Amino acid sequence: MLFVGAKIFLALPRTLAELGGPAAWMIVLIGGLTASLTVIAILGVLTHFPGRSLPEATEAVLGPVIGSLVNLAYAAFFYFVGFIGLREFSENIVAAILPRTPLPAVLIAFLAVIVYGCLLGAEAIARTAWFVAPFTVAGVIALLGGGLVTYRATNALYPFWGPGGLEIAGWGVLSVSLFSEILIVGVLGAELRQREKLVKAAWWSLLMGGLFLLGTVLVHLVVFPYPSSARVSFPLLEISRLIVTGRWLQRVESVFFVIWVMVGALKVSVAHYGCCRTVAHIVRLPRYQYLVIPLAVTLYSASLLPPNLTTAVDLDANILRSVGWIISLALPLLTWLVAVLRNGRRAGRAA
Amino acid sequence: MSKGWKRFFVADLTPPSPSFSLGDWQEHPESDPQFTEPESPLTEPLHTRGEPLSQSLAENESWLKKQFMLSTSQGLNLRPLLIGQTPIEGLIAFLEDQVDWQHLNRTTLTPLIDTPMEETVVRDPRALIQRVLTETQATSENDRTKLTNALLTGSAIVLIDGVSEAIIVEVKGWAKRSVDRPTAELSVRGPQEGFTEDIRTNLSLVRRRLRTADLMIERGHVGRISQTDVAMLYLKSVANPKLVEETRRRLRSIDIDYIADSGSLEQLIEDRPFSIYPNILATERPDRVAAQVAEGYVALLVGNTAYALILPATIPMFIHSPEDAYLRWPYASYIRLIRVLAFFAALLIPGLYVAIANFHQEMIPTSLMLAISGTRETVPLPVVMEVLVMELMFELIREAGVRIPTVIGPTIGIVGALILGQAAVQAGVVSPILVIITSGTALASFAIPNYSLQYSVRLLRFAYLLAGAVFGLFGITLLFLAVTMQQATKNSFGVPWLSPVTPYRPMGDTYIRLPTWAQQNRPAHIRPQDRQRQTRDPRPWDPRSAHPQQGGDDDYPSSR
Amino acid sequence: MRRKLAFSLSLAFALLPVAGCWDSTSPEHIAWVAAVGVDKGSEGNFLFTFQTVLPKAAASGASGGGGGGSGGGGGGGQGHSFVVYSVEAPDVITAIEMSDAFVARRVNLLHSKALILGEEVVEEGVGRLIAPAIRYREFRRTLYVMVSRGTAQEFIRQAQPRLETDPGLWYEVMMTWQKEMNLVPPVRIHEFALAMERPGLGARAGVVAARHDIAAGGAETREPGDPGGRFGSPAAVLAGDVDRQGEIPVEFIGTAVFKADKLKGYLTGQETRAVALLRGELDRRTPVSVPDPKHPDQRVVLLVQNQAQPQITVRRNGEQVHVSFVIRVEGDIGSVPSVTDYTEPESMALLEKAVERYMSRIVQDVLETSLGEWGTDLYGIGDRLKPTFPTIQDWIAWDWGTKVDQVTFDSHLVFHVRRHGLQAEPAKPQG
Repeated sequence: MLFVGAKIFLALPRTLAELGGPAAWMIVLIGGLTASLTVIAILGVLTHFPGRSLPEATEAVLGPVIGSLVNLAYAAFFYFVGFIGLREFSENIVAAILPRTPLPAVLIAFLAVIVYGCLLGAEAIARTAWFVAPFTVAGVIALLGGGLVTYRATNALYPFWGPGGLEIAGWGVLSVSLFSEILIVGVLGAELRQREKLVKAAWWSLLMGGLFLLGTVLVHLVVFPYPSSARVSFPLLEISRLIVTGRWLQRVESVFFVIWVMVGALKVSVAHYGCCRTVAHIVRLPRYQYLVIPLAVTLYSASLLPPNLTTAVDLDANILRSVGWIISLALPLLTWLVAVLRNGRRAGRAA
Repeated sequence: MSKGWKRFFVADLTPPSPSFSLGDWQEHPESDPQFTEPESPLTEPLHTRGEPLSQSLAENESWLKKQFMLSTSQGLNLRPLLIGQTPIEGLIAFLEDQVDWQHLNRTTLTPLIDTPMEETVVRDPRALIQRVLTETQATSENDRTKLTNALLTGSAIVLIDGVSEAIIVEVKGWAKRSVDRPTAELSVRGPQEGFTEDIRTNLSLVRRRLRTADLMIERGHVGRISQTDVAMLYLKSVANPKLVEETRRRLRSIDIDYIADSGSLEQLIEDRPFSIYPNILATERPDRVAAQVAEGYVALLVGNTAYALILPATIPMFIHSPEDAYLRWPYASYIRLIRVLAFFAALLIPGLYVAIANFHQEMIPTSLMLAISGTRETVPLPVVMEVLVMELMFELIREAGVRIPTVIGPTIGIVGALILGQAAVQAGVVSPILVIITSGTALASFAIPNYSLQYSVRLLRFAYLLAGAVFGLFGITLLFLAVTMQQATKNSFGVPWLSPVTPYRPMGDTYIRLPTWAQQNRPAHIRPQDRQRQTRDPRPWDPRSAHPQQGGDDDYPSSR
Repeated sequence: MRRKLAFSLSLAFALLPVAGCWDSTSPEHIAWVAAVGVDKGSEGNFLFTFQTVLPKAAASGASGGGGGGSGGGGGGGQGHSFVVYSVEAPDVITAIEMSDAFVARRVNLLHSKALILGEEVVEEGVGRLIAPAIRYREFRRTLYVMVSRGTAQEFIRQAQPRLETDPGLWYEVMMTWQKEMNLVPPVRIHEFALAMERPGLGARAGVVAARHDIAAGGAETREPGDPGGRFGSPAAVLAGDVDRQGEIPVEFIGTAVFKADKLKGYLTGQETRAVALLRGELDRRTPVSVPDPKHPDQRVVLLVQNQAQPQITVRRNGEQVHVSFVIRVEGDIGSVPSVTDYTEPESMALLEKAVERYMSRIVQDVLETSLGEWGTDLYGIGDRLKPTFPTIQDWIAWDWGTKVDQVTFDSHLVFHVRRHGLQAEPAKPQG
């Protein structure tokens, strides 16, 4: 489940470069470290309720009312990730590859596959992801390597502290939501009953996602040194378009593009799946499947709401990435604390 | 399927029901599987029991005549005789074209007539079998339906006056093909024999390769009219009992009039009949069957078919060939990678060509692009149609090649080469690059070792072509994702179809074939009872040390 | 169920032509541009010149070049493998739009290889041109940027390759070799735009020029590009001044140096190599001809290359910046016209010293011109200064761009002979 890393394909490195300049990579690092808190919290909650998913556990801990509210927040978060991701990926496809195709057509084609994936369930998405993962990883590594071979700026990572150490640290903690997709681990927790596997999956996805983000941001900063790095719309696409090693090995963006679409579709599928599962739990439905299509329709309309690409990216960057930390860090931590406290009290009573 | 599309829009509040799965992906700790005796063995006839025989020979004879409509239908031979030089009358009934007359004569007729016997022996079928009919397989039976079946499968029955049981004598003797080379699954290295249409020959071919009492062969019949022989083969100590039970259950529940071939049976027991990819592996090679059974798979041999079924089948099996195991591992791995490449090439090349030529012209080298646009100027068709026409043309040639009588066979090559090659280009109907595309695709599709998989690739190729024509690479990628997702949820007899690729179970025999001595485990995804092939390194001799007992550098003991 | 299936299938098929092909274009409906030239047009417009390839000619390999290279006139001339036309427009996109008025095919830049800027344009500043260009998806960042002495239009009209039929291939092969030969810097639009955007960094571009005299059939006898033969090397000239005859009537030699988006000046082929040496880009053996230390009237040719990346040490003391360059060069003896045996240790040392002296002078000259005179940092000094600032704000506030011309520097060049070709002692003609 490497979808934490999916956003490297979007405008994200640019946003980060805008924030952190040459020290953008530090934001990722700090964000990743903070995100490990989230992982600990989620795992903590799930340990208290083995065999249950995060929404179920949350409700069990916080009671039906507050629990449902928190779950609603989670659902809203997945929904948001879903539609923004959908919009951004489709928008990029339109902008970079299919300039004369209307956006809704791309959206619908995209959504069709996503809905199909969601209907088939987590099993389908996860297995497909595993199937696609080696290509993705190899592709991204080749791409980053190729970018470096083609062009390198010296000392692009200096001045070391970018806009200043404190600011970086602040942004870093706030951008824990870079990794907020790790929440999905909690939702999928019910599917993966073996605890060791869950723990492993959670840490792995955090680690891999973090590494990929870090790698991309670093390469982006080196290939497009600072002032330019904040100005390129689709960093990875541009890197892929840049790669030239001799007359024969160039124009490799096709490889990139394929990976891009796959990762995009899978990421949105996962988000959508998470959303449907959580909502289904809130309203107590035994199956989430029939939520998939209605929610997808609203997802479609929602993703058409932002009037242009800039608004969409800003929405992603500003709202999600700054409010996101509450959802992805504060809520699981809170749940965990309450769970620990309650358990402690219960244990005390029992003794 | 009953709820159809409605279920996606209207709330269906029933909790989801789990489908059959061998240890599902959620990894429940598995209960220790124990082998249990099957409740009802497969050998039970699959229809209701018939009435018992009567004591009177005349009554039985008239029943037989009625049963086989002897007045209009030919074939049933009734030969009266006096048994054991006593006055007791008997009757031997057999279907004339199903038995070996000489065999019948030697094993049954002569002993029954010539051997002097006491009357008590004559009236006791058991004693007759034990003392007189010693030269062939014989059983006694009183069920009329079973007797009819026995007659139909080429046995003779001996009816004795005053006895309500008949003796079934095996004297089968119909025309059959001898063991020959396999026709479709050829190999250079390895055994050169393939299955025949005779199930007993086939069973012996497999049994010869698995000489263990563990090899279970459950036999039975499927098909009300055809009464096709079906044999289920597995290793008792290895195959997962749940898998065996599920196969048995599916076979037993089949209620159909006629089964001609394992291909028909395959369609009756597969998990996803609407899937475009095959779910069950069909092979005509006994070595393949033996190898898979040894790994814990279940094989089905079907009478009158040269193809056996192996299940569960997962995607890597379709690109494997039995030869892989006989070659040294680097060669086998290399050839497997080529096949994987061929699989994707056969699937995607036409679609990719259309996508790139129509949508992503920037993605190919300038010189190639110029060549394409240069040669396409005279072509009257859009790129998609051009590809479509050529692909259809090729499909025609392929189909015609299968159907054409061998006498005029070579014509097809000439005609095909003319249409697909030189002439089409010279007439300006297609661009020369397309000829390369089509023939490349054709070559790749022939490199896929499995016949069924070839079909699915041929079909899906057109889907990818359309996707590429509508949305370019975007469409192809989405379609690929959708197909992968669909395949990912699919099970073949409780085993995920994409395993061991995903869910990932390393087995050292997927894409890369590890050296034979390194493959110590049976494939985990089919959950065999015994994961270890052998308890220790199959090479107890240490490959690093020289002959310790000789000490010297001399590798060969001298002759003196 | 079956009816539903049939219905959805037929629906899907009915939708296919509707949905299909917004972006689908048959390749034969596209005019592929190999190079774009930009000149100054009237009223603030640009004059765009497009070199479009004839796919048929390029594909069939039918070389139209032959004798008709002088085509000059309306566009390419007869039997050519490409067509040249010019449109006046404020920007590239409009220019492509305008071409639709007379080019039946859709003009497409995706396979273009070179962007050629006219002299007048670069003197005014190209920011107005480059910035929109890198936004437009058809412009790949891998285009080579070149500055044409005279107009770009002239250059493109003359750029009829003789050995190749496809001009796109010609540009590509030409620039691929320049990566080794370093007569022009093989700068892609990516690097150009980056350099333009970053403070202090000087953008570079190759210098090209059309040769009307060669197109007309002969070469004018001309003054050597460098009067008095300052270094006497034939490479010490700019495009348009090479002494030669025949082949294509255009040439590539020299560097155009920019500060921000404006042209500051030209460096000759020899100086271009010196810059490459300073940047550590001279990684394949390139010839340098040095006066023979023992026979000053003759010249020894050495094939030199960077032995290692040059060490550039930067010291900053408040506003004052001092840079020292240590360049290690190694090389082979290429040709020795005199009878001196330079494989002997003594004379080899003598030769090494002579080379060091000679090359140091060129390097020093180039540094003086580029840093002192033009105030452009071609060597990544700024990148090495950055680590001396803690935050990006400090670095921007310090404004390196305005301080380049106050930099003090010293350079030290070390040369070693490694091999001496196939002959140790020179062949001596005996009377």
